[in-house]
Amino acid sequence: MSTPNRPPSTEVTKTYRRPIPNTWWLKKRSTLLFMIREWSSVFVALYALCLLGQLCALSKGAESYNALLAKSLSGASLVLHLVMGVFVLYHMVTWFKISGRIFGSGPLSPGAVTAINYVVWVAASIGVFYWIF
Amino acid sequence: MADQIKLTIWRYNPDKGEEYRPQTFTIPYQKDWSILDALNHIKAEVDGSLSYRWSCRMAICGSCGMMVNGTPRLTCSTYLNEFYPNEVTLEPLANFPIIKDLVVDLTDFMDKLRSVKPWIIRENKKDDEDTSKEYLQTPTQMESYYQQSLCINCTLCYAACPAYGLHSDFLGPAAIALTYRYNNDSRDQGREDRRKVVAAENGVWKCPVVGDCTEVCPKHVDPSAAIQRTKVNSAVSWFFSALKGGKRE
Repeated sequence: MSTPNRPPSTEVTKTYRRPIPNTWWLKKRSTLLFMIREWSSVFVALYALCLLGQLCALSKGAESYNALLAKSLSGASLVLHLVMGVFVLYHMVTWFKISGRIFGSGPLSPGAVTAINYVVWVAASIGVFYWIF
Repeated sequence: MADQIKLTIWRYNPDKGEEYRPQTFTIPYQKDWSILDALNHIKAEVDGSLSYRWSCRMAICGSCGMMVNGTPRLTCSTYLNEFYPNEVTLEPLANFPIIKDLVVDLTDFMDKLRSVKPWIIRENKKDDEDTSKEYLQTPTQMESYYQQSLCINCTLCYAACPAYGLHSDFLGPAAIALTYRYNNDSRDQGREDRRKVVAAENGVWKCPVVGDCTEVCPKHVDPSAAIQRTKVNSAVSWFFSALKGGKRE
């Protein structure tokens, strides 16, 4: 006989948890794009290492820097830089979009925040271009 | 013969020793039926043992969430005419343990929700007792948290979140969205209490920004934005605390 005034037991005795396959991220477009963004971080890091290598060569003098530049013009290097460029651009575009979501509120809409990112990026790129050339 | 539609429902009954398995029902198609109406038809006319949760039928209570063709949806506001003449597959909400058929165990979510103290906290406990005192807000102050206050705890965001699926210790979208809601309420003074939970390892920092939680939210709460903003607030708070030589947690 049940005890009066005792609430019914809510204890769950045997539940089933569905396994998650390693390919879970391939099932939806959003998770696939997310994984591409995550992997693009590797190319961003690689690109940063290339820049550090250039700075290191520059610090050693013109001869060292020119030798590195000559190596950079090989076919394999150009392909690598092209691939890195594509992934770095993709990484940048996704984070510009996310920054809109984070900071876009009140008078500044998410679209406006993303647009400001692009404007600053283009302005900085033009500035660097004129500074170098 | 009247139009018909097929519903494949994933079922589980541990009391009968049944494995997790699909069962297909062919039922009359009514274009104005929600999926919940179809489930009620099956329960009343075809198989009374089918288990699922529902209550309000108007997308307010958040009880009837299920995976509809792989996407977390409220079945009371999802209609058969969206899928007809194709088949509809129903599964229990993903990432939660299944109790029976379409009913999942929400104990973990309820514990997490409680841990962020989703209520207004006042530093002076006497404020809770003094019911005559008013705490006025400007429309702008209310606007800062209104969107997150629309959360109905339906847990669709948890079912959509791959981070929660892979790491069940993650605090999760709705709990963090509600943290954001109360932290941004001008009447609340409990930000520090909640910071210990949301800024911890299993808090906001476990979110890898997939954004599916926001996509599936039936109330347009945007938990993803709330999580990312909480990350920014948490980082800024930590930075100034470190500058002052405060304790790093």
